[in-house]
Amino acid sequence: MIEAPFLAPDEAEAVDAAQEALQGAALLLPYLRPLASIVRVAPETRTASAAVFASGRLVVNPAWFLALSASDRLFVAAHQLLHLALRDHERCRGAEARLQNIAADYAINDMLRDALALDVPAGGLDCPGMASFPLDKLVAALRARHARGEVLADEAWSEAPTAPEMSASGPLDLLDTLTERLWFPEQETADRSRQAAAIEEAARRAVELGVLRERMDHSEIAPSVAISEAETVLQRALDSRFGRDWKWALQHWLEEAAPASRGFTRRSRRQGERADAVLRGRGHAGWILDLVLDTTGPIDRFMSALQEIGPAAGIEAVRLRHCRSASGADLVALDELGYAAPRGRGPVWPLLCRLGADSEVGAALVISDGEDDPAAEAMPFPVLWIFTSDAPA
Amino acid sequence: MNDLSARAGIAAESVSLMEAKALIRALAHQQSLLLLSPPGTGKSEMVQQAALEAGLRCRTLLGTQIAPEDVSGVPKIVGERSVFCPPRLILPEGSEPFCLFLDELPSCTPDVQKAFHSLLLERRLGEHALPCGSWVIAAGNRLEDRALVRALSSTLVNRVFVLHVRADVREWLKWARGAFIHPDILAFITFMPEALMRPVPLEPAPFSTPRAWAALSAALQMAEAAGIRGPVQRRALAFARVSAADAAVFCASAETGLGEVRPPLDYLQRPELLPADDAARWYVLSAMRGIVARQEGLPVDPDTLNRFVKRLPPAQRFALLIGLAERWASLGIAPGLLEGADGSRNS
Repeated sequence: MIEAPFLAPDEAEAVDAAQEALQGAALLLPYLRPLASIVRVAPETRTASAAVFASGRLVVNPAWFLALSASDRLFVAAHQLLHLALRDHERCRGAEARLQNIAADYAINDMLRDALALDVPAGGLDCPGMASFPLDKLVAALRARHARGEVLADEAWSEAPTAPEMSASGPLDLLDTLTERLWFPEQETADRSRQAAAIEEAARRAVELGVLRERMDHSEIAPSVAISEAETVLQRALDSRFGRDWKWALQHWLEEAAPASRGFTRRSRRQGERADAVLRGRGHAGWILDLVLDTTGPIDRFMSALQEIGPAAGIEAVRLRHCRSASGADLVALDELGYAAPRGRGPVWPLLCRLGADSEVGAALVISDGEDDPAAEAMPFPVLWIFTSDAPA
Repeated sequence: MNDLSARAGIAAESVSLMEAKALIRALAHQQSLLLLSPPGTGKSEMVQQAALEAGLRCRTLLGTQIAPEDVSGVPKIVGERSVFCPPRLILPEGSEPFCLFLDELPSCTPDVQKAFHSLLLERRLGEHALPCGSWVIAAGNRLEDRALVRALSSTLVNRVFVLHVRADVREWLKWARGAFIHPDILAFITFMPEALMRPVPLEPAPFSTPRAWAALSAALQMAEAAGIRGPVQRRALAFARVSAADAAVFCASAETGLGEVRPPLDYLQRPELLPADDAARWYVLSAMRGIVARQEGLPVDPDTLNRFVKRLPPAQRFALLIGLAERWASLGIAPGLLEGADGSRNS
């Protein structure tokens, strides 16, 4: 479907070329056909190269796109379709949206290099083997590189000029709904929502069919056969659709628990699709989380999750409190949390009740092997209990 | 052990159901065996089938539903003495050998486990011995399967051969063909063998096991017999019985018929076999392209290859060749067919 009725000649040519590239991508990767058939193309000079909205609107910079070869265009089109198939708009948001977008780009390009047997074009983010890693691991690696002073990509395709209207810290080629409303104000909200729902259904279908397509490379019953990187990525996307990820729950709780005042510097998520009202969003200032340890088991995965998620929720440091020992708290910077070690188990509620009288405590996270009743008392601050898998049934 | 067993968390020293059956036939008349595996592997059905084949009646006790006296019996007064009367189910009055199957043994309470000690080691209940040639076989799930299992006492474990049993895909497919399992499920498990048995999930959600697939097959066949054949109903039934990710891909496979597609190389030799369905044909070409891209080589002569490529409509030829011109040329594809396949055209 072509988006705009009146286009300049180069814009019309770019739209045609993008349509052709989408069709080509769907020919080579047939599982992307459900998506390719409903993606809408629009020429857009406010993007430097190509980008996509969750509603399935693909925007291409005409000059940049027309300068690419046919196979490069096909690669770029497949890249954007995969962002939709893998639901990257949902995965890549929050304070680290850019890092997540970069990580997703690396994984997709790595997967496409093999799946299409084409080189990553136009200076796209390219590092072999990246598709084998889960997105959060890639983000953690990128964060570490950034912390060491390495400059991260400022464009999905480095051969594209910098677009003046794009945020310097926002995502690269995953554009949000607010931007879509600003760039395409003529589209009705209901229409955008309908389109997003159709894209979501097509994305579901694409991932299911993608797993099947990858499996066709194994000609006989051999469960031990090496799984391709493409299948790894697609299977992970499929699993994430059904899995209840505790890290996701932790992230949401931390964002809700963050003591922050509301203001107009960020829009509220409660605003949803409404364009006729502006609600004040939360501005997260740095805060300290109280972490209560009641466990004898390993806590590395919880600590690394806090290190990953904490900065986005504004956590600056953690007060470690051990149920086993009556001593006070250890104040630990988020990046030193990996050295924290549990000292064993003890009664949780007496400690929580003490914290209840402490006005400095804003929220507490309890990691427990699980014999206390989390609903035993009401606390004056939010409490999240994580029961370890080592906990007794 | 195969990779499937490792993914399902099964011990390295495991045997397949058929191997376990052969061991039962060879040992069970003298030795007691305890079969352990994740739920849904098919142990119970296998034991019953083994007994049937050996001409033994199978008497099953469910560990979760019995009390100690259901095993040891109850006393009655005979003269000045009490005598234990064993339950008829465990010890029938005749002298015919039989198979005593103690299902879900690890779920028994410790008292019930204790009651089984003499039965498993000495094949007797109090004063009464089991008929010669009888089998005593127990089965159950492992602690890590989160299946209401209790820790087995060391005294009980020491009285039996503990066999770890796994599901074997080839064995299951052979059985499934004979058992008229739904063809969509057969095609899917052939395509995606690891979906036969998934590790027990942390949450109580449906998960894929041989038993779950067999039950889904029966449900689909019953629904179809009742005229219910829609994709929505298939999806609902699949998600209600097997792991969600498997259910999703299974439904996609059934809806597209991709599970029926032959290995891509078959079509090179016999292009007339190419799926008539447009969608399936694209998948075959995509897989063929993958083989060339990975430089796996095509075991066909250049004439056959050229004949195949020539038969394809232009769009399908493009999909097969683009970006791989050099590799196709090295396989003997005529230069005329490769025009534009380097992807360098700008329009």
